[in-house]
Amino acid sequence: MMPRVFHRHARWVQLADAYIDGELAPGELARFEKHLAGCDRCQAAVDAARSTKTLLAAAPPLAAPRSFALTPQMVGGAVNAPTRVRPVALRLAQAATALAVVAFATVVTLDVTSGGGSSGPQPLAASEQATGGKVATDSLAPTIRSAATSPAPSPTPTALPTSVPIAPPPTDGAGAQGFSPSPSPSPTPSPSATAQPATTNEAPSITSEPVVPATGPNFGAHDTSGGAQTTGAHTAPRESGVTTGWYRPAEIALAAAAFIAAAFALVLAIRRRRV
Amino acid sequence: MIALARAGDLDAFNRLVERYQDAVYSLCRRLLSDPTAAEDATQEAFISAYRAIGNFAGGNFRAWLLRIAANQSKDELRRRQRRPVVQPPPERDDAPPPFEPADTSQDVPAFIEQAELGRQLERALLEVPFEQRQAIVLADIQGYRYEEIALIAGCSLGTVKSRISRGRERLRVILTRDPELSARFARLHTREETHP
Repeated sequence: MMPRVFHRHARWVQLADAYIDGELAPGELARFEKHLAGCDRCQAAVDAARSTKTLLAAAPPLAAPRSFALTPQMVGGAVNAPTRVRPVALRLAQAATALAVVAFATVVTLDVTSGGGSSGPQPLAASEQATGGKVATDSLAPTIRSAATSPAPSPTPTALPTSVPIAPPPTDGAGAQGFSPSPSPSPTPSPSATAQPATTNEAPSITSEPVVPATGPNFGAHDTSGGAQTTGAHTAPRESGVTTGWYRPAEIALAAAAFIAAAFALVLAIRRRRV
Repeated sequence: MIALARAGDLDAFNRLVERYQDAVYSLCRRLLSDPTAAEDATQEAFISAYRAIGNFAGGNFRAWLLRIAANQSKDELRRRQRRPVVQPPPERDDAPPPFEPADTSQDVPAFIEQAELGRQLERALLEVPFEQRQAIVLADIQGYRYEEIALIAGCSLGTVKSRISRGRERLRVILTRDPELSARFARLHTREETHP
């Protein structure tokens, strides 16, 4: 009983401050004044609140000691500070993006200048050396690969120059996944192959004609095994594929890296601007 | 003027600064009890206000501005609490006493006594919780109505009433805890009663 009365009276006491501030609603004010007339405790609360208010009110609002007007530099610095001082992560992301793009462009340039052989391994470095051109090199790798996978014949096997001799296909097939025994030990290039320009040799790469040119002045240099030319012809494409076949994976990897770095940098920049 | 400031007119915003800088600085000074920190908070409050004026939805601009100032002061207090204070900030000679009476034509002893009382009162105010201190400073020193205090504090009218009541009670307890301060407090009230 007593706590409830005490609690109820505490609400009256709490109204003492609003009363002296003139913040009581009309109905509330009338009720409080009626209660105040017969309550010494609330009267004491009102006096205490009023004395505290009087004490605090003795302090007038302080004048500003100086002008706080903003200057353009102040505002510009405040607004541009987040973008002017870039975080390390954003700088790293931008540098990584630039690096990946440059590397990607370099690889693509190498790929293009080397004959656009990014479509697959490029065998016949030996043939390249022999002919002095890269066209025949490009044309033969797919030819050899497709010989094993695609039985469908093609009228235009390769774009080999007519001067390039055709080596017999390997008979062992060891280590050469794309090789398959050829029915003819010394296949001859089809007329279309000789007539076709060197630059259009990508499309007919699905030919089944297993022509493997591997002769030339420098062919013997690849024939380290000292065996027949077939060995050298077999070895040359594999070595060449190892050296030039990394273009496509490198391009993909670098493009992916550039994309990821650019996306990361973009996210960082957006978050930085929001701050 | 507010519309011009919202459009990015710095001169228009500076006219608002000139109009409200006393109120903003006064609030920061009461809340922080440190002239240097109060100046920093005031400047930061105006910079923040300029950057955020696009979010001002209209209404009571002073309340909106003082709310930013109060938040800046609160942040400043948090920063100071995180940093260990080796020594109190030096009292600037040109800094006016925090509770300097408006009418300096009164007798000198009373002026000195009230100035000293003001410093003690300032220290006592720092012991009052921030929200309650903000409420009684705005109500009793700045003289704002409860409705505007609610806007500044971002709370309801009932909360404002409660904070003011509790803040004054807390301040009274702190003042009476110190016998000297309590005696000065009593003398001040005696003088007020004899010279209303």
